Amino acid sequence: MSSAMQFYVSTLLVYAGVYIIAAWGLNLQFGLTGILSFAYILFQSIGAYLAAVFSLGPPASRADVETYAFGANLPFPLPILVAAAGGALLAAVLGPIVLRRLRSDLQAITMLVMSLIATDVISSDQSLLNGATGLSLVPAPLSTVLGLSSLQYQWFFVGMVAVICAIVYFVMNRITSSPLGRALRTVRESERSAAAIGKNVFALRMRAFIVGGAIAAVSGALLVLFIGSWAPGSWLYIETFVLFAAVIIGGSGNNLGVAIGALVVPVGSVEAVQYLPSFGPPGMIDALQWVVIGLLLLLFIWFRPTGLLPERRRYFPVSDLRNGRQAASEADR
Amino acid sequence: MNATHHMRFLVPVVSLAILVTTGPGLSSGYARSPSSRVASSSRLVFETFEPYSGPDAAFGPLIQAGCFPAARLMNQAGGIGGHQVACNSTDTKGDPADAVPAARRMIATTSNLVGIIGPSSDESTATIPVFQQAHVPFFTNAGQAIFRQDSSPYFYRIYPPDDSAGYAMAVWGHQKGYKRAAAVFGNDPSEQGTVPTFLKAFTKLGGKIVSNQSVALDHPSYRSEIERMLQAKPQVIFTEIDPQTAATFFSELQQLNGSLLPIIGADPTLLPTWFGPVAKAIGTSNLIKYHTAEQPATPASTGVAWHTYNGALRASSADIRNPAQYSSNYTPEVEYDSVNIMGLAMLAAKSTKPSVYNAYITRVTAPSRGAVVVRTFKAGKAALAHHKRIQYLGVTGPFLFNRYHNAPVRFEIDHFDKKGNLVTIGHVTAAEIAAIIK
Amino acid sequence: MDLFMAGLGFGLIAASIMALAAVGFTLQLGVADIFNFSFGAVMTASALAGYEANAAGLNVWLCLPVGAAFGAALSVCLNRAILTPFMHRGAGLFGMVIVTLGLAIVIQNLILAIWGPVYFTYQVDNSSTVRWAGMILTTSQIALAACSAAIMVVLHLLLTKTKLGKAMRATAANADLARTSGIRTSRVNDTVWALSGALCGLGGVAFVINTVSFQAATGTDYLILVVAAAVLGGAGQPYGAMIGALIVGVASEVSATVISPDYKDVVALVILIGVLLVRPRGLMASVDLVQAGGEETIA
Repeated sequence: MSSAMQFYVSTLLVYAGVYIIAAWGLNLQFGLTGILSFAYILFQSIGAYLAAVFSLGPPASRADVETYAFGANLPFPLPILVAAAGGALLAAVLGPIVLRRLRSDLQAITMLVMSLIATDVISSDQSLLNGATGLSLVPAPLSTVLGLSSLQYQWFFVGMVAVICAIVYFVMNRITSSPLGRALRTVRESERSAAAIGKNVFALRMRAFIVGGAIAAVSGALLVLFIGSWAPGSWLYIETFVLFAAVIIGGSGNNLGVAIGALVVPVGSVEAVQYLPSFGPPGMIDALQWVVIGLLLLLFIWFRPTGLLPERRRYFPVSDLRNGRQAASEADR
Repeated sequence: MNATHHMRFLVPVVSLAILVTTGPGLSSGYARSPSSRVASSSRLVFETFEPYSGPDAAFGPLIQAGCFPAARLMNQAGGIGGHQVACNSTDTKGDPADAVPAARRMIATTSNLVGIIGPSSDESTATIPVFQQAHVPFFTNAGQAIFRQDSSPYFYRIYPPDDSAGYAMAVWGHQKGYKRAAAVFGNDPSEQGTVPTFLKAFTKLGGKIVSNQSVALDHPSYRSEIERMLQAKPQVIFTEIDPQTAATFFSELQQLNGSLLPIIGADPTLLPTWFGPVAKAIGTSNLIKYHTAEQPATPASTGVAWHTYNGALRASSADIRNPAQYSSNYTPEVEYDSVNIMGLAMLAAKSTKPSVYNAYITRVTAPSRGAVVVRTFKAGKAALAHHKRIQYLGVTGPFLFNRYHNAPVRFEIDHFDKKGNLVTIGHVTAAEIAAIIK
Repeated sequence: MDLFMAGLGFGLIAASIMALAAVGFTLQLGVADIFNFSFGAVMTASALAGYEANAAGLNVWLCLPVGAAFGAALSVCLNRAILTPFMHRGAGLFGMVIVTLGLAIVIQNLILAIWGPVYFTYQVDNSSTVRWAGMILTTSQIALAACSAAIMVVLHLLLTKTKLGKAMRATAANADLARTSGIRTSRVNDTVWALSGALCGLGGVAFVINTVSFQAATGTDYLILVVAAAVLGGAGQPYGAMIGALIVGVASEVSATVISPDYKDVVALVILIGVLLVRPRGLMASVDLVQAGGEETIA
């Protein structure tokens, strides 16, 4: 493989990893727990911004290039951990506002509105995170220490993303197959039943919201450390829609399915259209790509609402039925 | 259950197929190009790496409009070293996160990629390192001031940085005697790039910014913003906002103030896409009367270079929507010149290998004793065939690259005529701009 | 004070235009129980229909009925061909939000693909400026506001004085009960989509008469303010939507003059979130939008 091809393939692999991690976080919030998390991209974005400012160094050191409110030069992997904490914290703050009292479609709208407010504020205020221009020239982690060639570094980064993917997958699998996962599915299927068997619905949803937020933030941190820039144009609300499409098409609730969805929608569809024979004026294909994603989503909801790889049906021994409606509602699926 | 089992088997196969077809290997057969009607592996490809979708979707077609006429003329002149030339496009979506994989794909899968036009300000900092690694010359239209000192050998910028556009606007406003100015700029990366130096320079020249607004683009109305601005009693408005915002903003200004105020715009306000909606909104005669704007200076549209360019441009209607609209626009002209410079450097180097001919880019543009001054690719090719040294001037030259491969630029001040063509009414020299930067 | 009064005047105009769309949106939410994200894309499409009529030589004011007719037709078609079938197939509240969002993206990008990344501009005659009590308005804006007010009155009469209006309100309150009382809810449904679609189209064209210029994403961008107005007033409540539009319009314009124009949307949206937190039903709600443990299905 030529080195240009290696650069390309390794870049795609990093993006695939980033999108898979992001889709898993959304799967936890939406697929497993049923939260219509329309501010999801905010979690990815806060992770990216935090990883960036905590790699760039104090604002004064970069005053000639960009302005931001705070920052430090933390050693790897602290920027990623700070990002995860930031994503969790954002979820902990937003959660009580939206998850407590509103009907689900109003929750969705409230979160969408929050996403728009954030875009407006960050774009308008130059001093916070360099406004609409965004942050750039974020140093690549460990690049000076490792002494690798740039191609070797690409593969190093692929390896790092793969390891983090594996960790997140492990966490996700533990959650889905644990009693917590069962409780979250119960909340999704019927809040009333969950409450009836003594589950604290709000606390359960908050847990999924916070862990999902942290996972999204990690994906954002990895992306910004790889490409070195982050701007409001990278986290418009439409990006949330893309991830929802990935989760639904892949198989809401199924970790492997969602990973496949992430490969098919954000990574696959963008790459695939580039190899179509060209037609129409420049830009037409790029608009049609969105049309295709939208139609694909509609077709899946119609013909295969469970996605490419449906969530596993779960059956429980009769003895479990004594524990109330929980098991019954699981088996109903 | 059966269906599920079926899918279990099917899914890995399908996803593998997607990965294989989208990934390496099978891909180089198609080049996305309106002009590459015949896929031929020996064609030399110039890629326009710009936004074709997203908020800055107008950039791509505008910039690519310079490549097609250059390629057309090169092919008519017999191509380069026996190769035909083609123009391709790659969409960055105006977002660094989308642009990086697009750049990697472009480099990995375009056979015979010899030169790049781009990136724009939107994705420059994320993708310039990628091009640097690929050892392919790129002529960027990114406006960031940090690239004044970019030391990468494959970087070239003929297009002036945003900050000097800000200086040019301030100098012109000062020369016209305005003391109280309102600044109205969109809250968008490309529009915000101009603001800091404009504010600094106008104040330094003794003027006062009485109102400074960064407006959110494409809103239903700006009456509140306008009323606020009018309270500060400005004599002139300095602006860079997109066409839709401008149409709304200036028509409302007209209503609220009874008439417009003088408007001094940045170069995007001279684009045909800006003229149409704004002229319709406030009336063409008002637009002509009140609006002027800077753009990098080009020689009067009369010389042989411009006629050659314009002829080829108008003949490219198969590739460009309504090509005549770009006739007097700086941006496609400068991209046309960029492609010609790269082509001539290949001929001078007797190699189409980017890492080899790169060293000849400054050589075919620098003035030197005995160099034949050429204004078209064809003339340059003929002179090089006779083993002469050349200096390419093209439509927008001379190109005096400094050690950072930036070329200093003189500005002209234009306004529209009734048909939307540009009329030049003044100049701001590179020396005048250098004087304020100090 | 001058600035405040000027802002108030602008806010009233913005509100009267927003009310058209907000009432249309809230009717769909109340009667059809669909949170229709594609409403903004239909506004853009209607404005585009108005643009084509205008470009063909039709006076810009006559484009209003063109937009209304187009919006009504498109909305009925979308509902019959896509939305109702999806609902019958069991897509719940969640599912319909995703479906309509997908639809919005499809419509908006089809416009982009066909017409390209261009700005559409109406040919609007110059109108004169009227100054009154610190407010500065143009005659065309006053005409738009008057049109909007007249439509609101007609709507009021329709909802309260006609059999159709009563059937609509009954369906909104309880569709099953309405059906068992002999109301043909499917016909009511069609009427609601036609009516709300007409308001959507009117809103789209009126919006562009005021702004002059638009592009493929304009309606979807504007939708969020429309939704804010509708939800603020109490989802499903036509009168609530009018009040919501008034609050959103005036608050954003006054804040732009008094505080800073950078955050005019932010102010309106923060008000929305505030109201939802204090009164989750909105200002005038009767439809039960509070989560009382209602069963919902996922797409």
